[in-house]
Amino acid sequence: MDFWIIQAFNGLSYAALLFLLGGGLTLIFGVMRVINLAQGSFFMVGGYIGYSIISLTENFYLAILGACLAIALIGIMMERFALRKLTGADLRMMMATMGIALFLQDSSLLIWGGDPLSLSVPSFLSGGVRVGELYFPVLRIFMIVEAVVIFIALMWVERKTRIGAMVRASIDNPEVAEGLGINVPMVRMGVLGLGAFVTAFGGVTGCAFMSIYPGLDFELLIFAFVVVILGGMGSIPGALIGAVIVGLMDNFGKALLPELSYFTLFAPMALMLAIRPMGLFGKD
Amino acid sequence: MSKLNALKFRRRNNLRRFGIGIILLVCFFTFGFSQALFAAGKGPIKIGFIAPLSGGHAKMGMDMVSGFKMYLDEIGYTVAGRKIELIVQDEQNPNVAVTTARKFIKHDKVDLIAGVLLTGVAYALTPLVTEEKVPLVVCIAAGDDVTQRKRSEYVTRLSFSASEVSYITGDYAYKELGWRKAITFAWDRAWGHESAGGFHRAFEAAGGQVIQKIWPPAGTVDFGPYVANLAKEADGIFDCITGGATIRFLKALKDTGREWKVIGTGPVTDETFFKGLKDLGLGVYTVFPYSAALDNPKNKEYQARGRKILKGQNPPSYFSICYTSARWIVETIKAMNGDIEDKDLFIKTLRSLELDTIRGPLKLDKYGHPIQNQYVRKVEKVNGVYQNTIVKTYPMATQFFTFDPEVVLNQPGYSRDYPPCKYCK
Repeated sequence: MDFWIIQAFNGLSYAALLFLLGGGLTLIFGVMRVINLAQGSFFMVGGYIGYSIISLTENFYLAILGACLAIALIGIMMERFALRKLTGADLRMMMATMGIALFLQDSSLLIWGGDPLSLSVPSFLSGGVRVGELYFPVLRIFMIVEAVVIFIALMWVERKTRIGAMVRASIDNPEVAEGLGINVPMVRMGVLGLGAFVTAFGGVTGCAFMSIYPGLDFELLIFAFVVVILGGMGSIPGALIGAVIVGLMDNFGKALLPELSYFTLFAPMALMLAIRPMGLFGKD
Repeated sequence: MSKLNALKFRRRNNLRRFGIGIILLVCFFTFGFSQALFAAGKGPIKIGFIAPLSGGHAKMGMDMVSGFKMYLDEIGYTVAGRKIELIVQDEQNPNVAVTTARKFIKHDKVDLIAGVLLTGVAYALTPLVTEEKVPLVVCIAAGDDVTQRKRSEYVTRLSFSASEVSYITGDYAYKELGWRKAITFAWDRAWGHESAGGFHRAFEAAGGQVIQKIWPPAGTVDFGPYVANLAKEADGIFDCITGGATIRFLKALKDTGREWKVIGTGPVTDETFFKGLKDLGLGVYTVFPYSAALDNPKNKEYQARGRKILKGQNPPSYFSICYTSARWIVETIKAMNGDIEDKDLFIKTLRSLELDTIRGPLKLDKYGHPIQNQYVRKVEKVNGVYQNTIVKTYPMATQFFTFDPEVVLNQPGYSRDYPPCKYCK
C-alpha cells in the first residue's frame, strides 16, 4: 500500500510540473496555431532568471514573479517581432520558434555558464512531512498546489471573463472576431505572454526541484509534446489530464517496469494518435 | 726564395687557413644547430582539437579547450624551436566528428588530433586515424574499450576510464566503508554500464554483494519513482548519475527521508557542481585521478595560476586533465626534438614518457592508458568552501585494477547484464 501511495504522490507532483509546461504550450498553440519549439527554453531560462533573482535578493516570491514577467516579455517580443509577420505560414513560424530556442540556449550558456544550478527554496518548502512510514517532501506538495491554483485561474479567465471570451472568439474565428472589433494581434500577443508566464512558473519551481543546466530545454520539450498530444492541442483541461496521465504512467512505468520506462511513456501517446489523433479534449 | 715570394706564400697560407676556418665554422653551425634550423624550416606543428562547443556538453568542451590552451600559453605556443598551431572544432556527434577529423588530416594536414569528450566519437575516430596513421590523443572520453577491446596503437588516452575509477569505489566501499550489500544506480548507457560493472566486479571480488541494479534512461527528469524502490537492506549506493542530473538525483535521495550512503564515480562530485549541490553533496565519496584539493606543490601553484586566468574561479576538473594532456604532448615533442613528422617515434615517445604532473606521477601502459594515482575523495566544507578532500590514495593503479589484463580483455565488456547480478531479487 505504501508503495502505491508514495508512487502516486510522486507521479502527481511530476504531473504538476508537466502541466505548467504543457499548459503553456497548449495556450500558445490555441491562438497562434504554432507549435512553440521554444517552450522548453522558456522553462529553462525562467529557471535561470529565478536563480539569479534569488541569488541577489534571497526572496523566492520575487524570483517567481520576476522570472515569469521576464519570460512573458520574451514571449511577447517573440510574437511581435518574429511571428506576427509570418502569420499563416505555419512551418515558417515553427522554424522561427526553433531559431529562438537555439538563440536562448546559447545566450543562457553565455550568461549563466554551463554548470548545473539549483535554486534554494525558503525553509518552509525544503523539509518533508512524515506520515507513519511515508515521507512527503513539502516542495512536491507545493508543486501540486501551485498547478491546481494555476489551472483554476486559467479556467476562470477563459470561461468567465470578457478577456476569455475575446480569446475564445479569436481562436474560433479570427476574421469574424476582428470584424467585431477585437484586436486579434493584441490578443495573440497577450496569450503568448500568458503561456510564457505559466511556463516560467514551472521553470522556477522546476529549478528548485530538479536543477537546471544547458540541454534541459530540449529534454523537456519532448515531455511537453507528449502531454499536449494526449490531452489535445489547445485545451487547458486536456493539458491537465494529459499531464496527470503522463506523470502517473511515467512514474509507475519506471517503478514497476524499469526496463520499459520509455515504452510506458510513449506507448499511450502512440495509441492515442492511432485511435483519436486530436487527443482527449482536442477539436476537429 | 725571394722575400716577395715568401710574403705571397704566407698570405696564401693565411687565406687557406681563413677558408678552412670558415668551412669549419659553417660545418659547426650546420651540425650543431642543424636540428633547430631544420625544425624551424618545417613550419609550425599543427594540432587539431575536437571538443563540444555547442549543445548540452558545451561547458565541458570549453573547459577542455581552455585547459589545453592554458598550458600552450605558458610555453608561448613554442616547443623545440617550432611554433604550435591549435585548430579547434566542434565535436557534436560521431558523424560530424569524423568529417572534422578527415578535414583536419586532408586539408589542414595536422600532425596529431587531440581532445574528444564523447566515447562514441573516440570509437568512431579510431579506424580513421589508424588508417591515416595520424596519432589521436584522447583527452577525456572514458569508455573502457578506447584502450581495451577497440584499442589502436594510434590512439592514446591521457584521462581515465569508466571501470578503472569504479573498481576502486567497489574495493573501498567493502574494505574501508564496511559495506556488505550495495545497490548500483547508473545511467542506462555504456558509461553507466561500465562504471557500475567496475564497482560490481571489485565489490564482489572483495566479498560484497550487489543486490539491486537500477538503470534510469538518459534524460530522466524525476528520480522519485526509482529511489522509492531502493532495497532497504542495502548499506549504500554506487552512483553513476552524472552531468546536470547529479543534483536532481542526490536531491531525490534526500527526499526519501533516509540518509543514504553514497560512493560514486568522480564526475558525480565534480568541482563545477558544488555551486548547485550546496550541502547535498556533503559526505559523498567519489574516486577520481585528480582533485582540486590535491596537496602537492605543483598542483597548488597550478591552481593559483588557473584561478588568475579564470577570474578567481577554481579550474574545473576537465580543464585540469586537458592541461596535463597538453603538457604531455609538448614534452613528447620536446623529447623528440620537434621532429613530430616521425609518427612511429612520436607514439613510442608519447607512450614511454614519465612525468610528475599536477595529479601526481603519470606514465602509460602498453595499451596506451595512464597508470596513475586514484584518489578516494569525500565532499567536505572547509572554511566555508566545498572541496573533494582526499581520504585515501591508491598509488599507480592501472586500468585493470588488480585483475589480469588478459583475462579482462577476453571477457565481454561491462553491460546491463554483465557481470550477472547473482544476488538480485
